[in-house]
Amino acid sequence: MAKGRERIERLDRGIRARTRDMYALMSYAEIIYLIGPRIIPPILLLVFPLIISDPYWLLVMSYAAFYGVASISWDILGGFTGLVSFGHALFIGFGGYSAAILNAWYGVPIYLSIPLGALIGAGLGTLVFAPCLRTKGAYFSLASLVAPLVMIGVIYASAEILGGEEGIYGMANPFNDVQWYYIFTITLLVSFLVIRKVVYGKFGLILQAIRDNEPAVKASGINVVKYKLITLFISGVFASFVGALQAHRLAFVGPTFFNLLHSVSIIAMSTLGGIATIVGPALGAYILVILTEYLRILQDVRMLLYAIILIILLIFRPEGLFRYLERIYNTFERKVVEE
Amino acid sequence: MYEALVIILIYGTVLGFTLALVAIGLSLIYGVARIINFAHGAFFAISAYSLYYFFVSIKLNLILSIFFSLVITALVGGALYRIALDRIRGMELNEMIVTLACAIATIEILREIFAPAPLGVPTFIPGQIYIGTYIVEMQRVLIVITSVISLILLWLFIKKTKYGIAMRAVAQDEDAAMLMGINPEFMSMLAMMVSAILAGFAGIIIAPTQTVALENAWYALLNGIAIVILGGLGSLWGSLVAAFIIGYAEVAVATFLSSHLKTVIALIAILVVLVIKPSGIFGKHRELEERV
Repeated sequence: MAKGRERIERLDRGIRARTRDMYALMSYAEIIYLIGPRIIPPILLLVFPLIISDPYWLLVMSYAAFYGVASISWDILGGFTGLVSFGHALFIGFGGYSAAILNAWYGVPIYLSIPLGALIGAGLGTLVFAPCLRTKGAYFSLASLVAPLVMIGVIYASAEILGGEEGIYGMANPFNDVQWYYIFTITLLVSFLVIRKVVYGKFGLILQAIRDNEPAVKASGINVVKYKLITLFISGVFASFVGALQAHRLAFVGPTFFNLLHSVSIIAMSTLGGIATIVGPALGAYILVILTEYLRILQDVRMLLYAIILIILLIFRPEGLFRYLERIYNTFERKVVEE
Repeated sequence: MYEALVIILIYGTVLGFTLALVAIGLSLIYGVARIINFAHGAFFAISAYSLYYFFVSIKLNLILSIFFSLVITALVGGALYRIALDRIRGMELNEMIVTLACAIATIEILREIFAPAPLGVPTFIPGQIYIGTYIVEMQRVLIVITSVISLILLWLFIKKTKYGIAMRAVAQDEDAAMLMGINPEFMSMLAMMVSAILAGFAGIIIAPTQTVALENAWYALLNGIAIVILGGLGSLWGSLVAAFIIGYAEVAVATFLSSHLKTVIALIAILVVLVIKPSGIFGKHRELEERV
């Protein structure tokens, strides 16, 4: 019985189990097939500065990683838990402002201000959204659209305290372009691994159950609100972390951190890559950021472009790019496995 | 202090009526089709910009300009339902994202067509009247009168006409309505068009008292969301009362604190209502459990 289940699990992973306890990899083709797509993209990302040292493209790629982390953190909420956040910029902004205030006003060193900023930002964001979690997802979406717009108003109103439109300046920025590239990219890889660990375990199973049938989860004696709160906090930590990184990188935070553009970009990237796939949103982030940088004309109409991508994809192809690529990838299994 | 109260009363009433038109549209489409329409603010902007085009740019007569603007808004609403929402009905998350994307697309297209700077529309009726010693522009009086008229017309439409009754039937039970020979798809589209007209009308009558700007679309949507949550999703009369609560509160905040802070009222209203009574002040609790 147990043996049979193990076998099924291995087959699920696309790996043939030939013997009871070990995988028999029959050929180099099979090894490449199995580990290639899992190893090559991270390696490419890590050696990118060695190949292309143009600071402009390093900047673009760090932006892509920034949006990648934000999109992955959106995915754990929107894709896995069914809490579609229309205001993920709230976390980016809270993280950025927390880190900026800690560093510029209280002189907290950068190695502390970024993680502390991430935690404080996620905590504040969770606090704002906590009342919406008792009801179903729609209320959360409504409130999450409103919250960042309100924060922009609050910042404009409190010009003496939070700097108003000018924002807060003068955070420490001790790194150069290549170092920032590695910081953002490694953040992306780490958050990918962490969030994948979270959502593909028992915890993630409960999240998906909440998304698919909340009353059933409640009936099983699981505290739905607690799980939603924890997920919101986890998601917020990653979004706030990149917000804090960005604040230090630019040595500036302003109301633009709460911009609707961020929230919409994140949703567009996740949808393009594939909702509820974790890798997909990061893929979508790289594609959209590079596309808009490559085609300069698109820069000014980015919002329109993202909106149109969203409409077309959600109506005609809601599965996303990653699932499509995955299907193509799976068809190669036949060719590499010798029967 | 006394002066401030009178100002709050006058301006709050005017704002309350405008917001009521916006929010009742949002509530109507939710009640009939169970769609949370994030594109609602876009209707507000489309009609205001169309009015600017017809009334200021090509100098058409006022009644015709308003009529054409409302027709355009209604057509956009109908098209949004027919082209986009019809295909993804029932998938709530996709509906929400698509309507938000439609709102952004509309607003960005408006930004490309018109100048991004705010535009001005002349008042419909010049002059002012005195309430005690306070001057009130005729435009604001007009807003109140026309809002009351359009709310009465809406009430008559929903209660008395065949289409209105059919719409309520769809809202109550879609399957049963279908068995009675009502086409729920058509009724949902009609509800979308009516709600677009309501939001569009609000956008038109408020346009002369402020500038025509794209930010107003988000402002209208934000307040609309706060009001429907406060009044209970899908409850028309709840929305009406909640619109005045939000209207007075915003004018009070703008008078005493800062006009930037008036949006805070919306968020506070949402959060407080969700903590105390998630179904809204007039929502039915059982319905919330089942449908929301």
